[in-house]
Amino acid sequence: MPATIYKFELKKLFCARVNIIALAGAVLMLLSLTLSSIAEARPVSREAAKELNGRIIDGQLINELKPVLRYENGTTVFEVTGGYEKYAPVMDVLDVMITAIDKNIDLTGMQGNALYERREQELAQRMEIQGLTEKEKEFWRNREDQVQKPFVYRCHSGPGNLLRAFQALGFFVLLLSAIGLSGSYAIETAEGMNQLLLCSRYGKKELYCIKFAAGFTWILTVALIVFLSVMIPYFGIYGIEGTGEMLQLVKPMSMLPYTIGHMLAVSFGIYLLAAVMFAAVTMLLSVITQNQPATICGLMGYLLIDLFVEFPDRYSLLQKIWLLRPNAILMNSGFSNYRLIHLAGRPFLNYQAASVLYVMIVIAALLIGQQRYKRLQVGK
Amino acid sequence: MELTADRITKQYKNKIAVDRMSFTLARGVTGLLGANGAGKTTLMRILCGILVPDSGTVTCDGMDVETEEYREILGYLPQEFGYYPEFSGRDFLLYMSAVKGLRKKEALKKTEELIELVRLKDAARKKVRTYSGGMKQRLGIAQALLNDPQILIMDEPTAGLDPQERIRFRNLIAAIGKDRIVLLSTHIVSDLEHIADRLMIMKEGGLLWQGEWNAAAGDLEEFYISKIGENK
Repeated sequence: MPATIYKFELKKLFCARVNIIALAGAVLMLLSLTLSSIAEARPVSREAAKELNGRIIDGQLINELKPVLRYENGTTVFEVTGGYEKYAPVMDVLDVMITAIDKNIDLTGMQGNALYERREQELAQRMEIQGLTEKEKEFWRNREDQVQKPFVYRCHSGPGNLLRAFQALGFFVLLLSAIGLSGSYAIETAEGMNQLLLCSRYGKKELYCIKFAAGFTWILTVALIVFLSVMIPYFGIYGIEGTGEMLQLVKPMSMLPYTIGHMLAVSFGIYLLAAVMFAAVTMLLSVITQNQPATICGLMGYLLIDLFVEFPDRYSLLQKIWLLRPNAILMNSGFSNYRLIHLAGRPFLNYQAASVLYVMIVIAALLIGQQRYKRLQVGK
Repeated sequence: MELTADRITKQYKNKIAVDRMSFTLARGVTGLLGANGAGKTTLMRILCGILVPDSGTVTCDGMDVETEEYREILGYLPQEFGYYPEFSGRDFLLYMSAVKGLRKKEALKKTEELIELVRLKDAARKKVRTYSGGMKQRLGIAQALLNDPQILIMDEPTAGLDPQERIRFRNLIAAIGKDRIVLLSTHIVSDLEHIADRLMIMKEGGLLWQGEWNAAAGDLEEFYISKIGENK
């Protein structure tokens, strides 16, 4: 019987018009955002990118580019014209590097490996501002030593763009969770169905768990569909080339000696875990409030706070906790914030600690929700 | 089998919905009469274990109403409730069968039987949102009977039914009540006149009168009005 209930709970979620419309809307929006970002990207021929493959991004390359570099209004501007069009892919990487290190960098006057020296200074300064202990600095230095410098250009548009898309994906999954699962338990109260369910044999205990399971299935399916709607265009057009290349081509301020593929796998895992956590929290709110609009409002309130609230560096503990939220992790804020989380005497990276935290939140939501569901009454 | 309520009380803010009610329901049909707001629905919810009384107990042969065993033998038709718009009538009954703990084969068999019984065969595959009020009510009656309940509690079961259907369901309830506990509330006194073995009359949360009812004893409507009048 639980299998039959599960099947029908899935039907409620997958066949609900509002859920289908919301999912279709999200997929269309992401597809159009992805395709427009591809269309707006500098027209780079695959041949040019291939020709530059393996090119070291050093002073010599910057010297070669100087005729098309200008320093205007405190920013280095690249003019992709004439015979320099073939440099467009590497210019993109330089642009990303400058933006990440310091957008005021004047590349026109740089010689040798000054760009990497500037990066090193910036890293040291950030670690200082963030109040890292000597041990923590040592932890990062050890990893930074393993990062190859100067960076080497490799084609990476497909996986690189996908890695940058995770923050938007997380936003859409939260939105879809709010729309699709806010009614999981609340709609029964609004429609009066809880009168029938709560006096049925499996309506008090088993139904609660089955609804949660169906909610997780739904959110994971939705998360996968949303992910594919971004992955397919990027990999379809650019290919998967670059998956094994250095992470710093996408995240220049990262001190992790990882590849883009490694970080894609990590982000994908965090993304799925975050989706499950959003679902658990949405369903918990649905049980507690027994009111769908109130649940949606609560989640939208969180979304706004998430987008606009940042804690300054001096609030170390608050900032540490705040940086564990899915949006921050998926934005890869760990690449510009180097605070470590210490658990059982061992240092952990943000995303490692976040995954433990998300699992704990899911378990807590399940248990709290179960207690609340047990005490539900009709017409109280 | 006996369903016993012992001094149950339920209060909402400053209104007492059920006031120290004690009674025992045995096999047969018990009619619950009372004006709007008399506390009938609250009482039925308490008997179903979906509303906890502030004080007092409800047990069935010593079994608490909050237990799974009790819910297994209970059928309840609330006065008003919604349906899942994505479900067809058959889906709804199959879903409720599963929640009530029926095995798949048994659920399929029972669903078909009840669809036939409530005359929804032609509409069984249609979405419930396309059903008329009367069809929804018949579907509600069907779900209450899915698990062959030993205790059947029905809040206004004939509301929305046409006269012909009302008579049919009245007879059906009378047949079911022969070997089960049936409690039904209604505004339509004539629905109870010929099938109720017992009557309970509620007023302002209290039990105004309870006792055996014999159809030969006279007109139920007059009896009900006289009881309400006596109390004034």
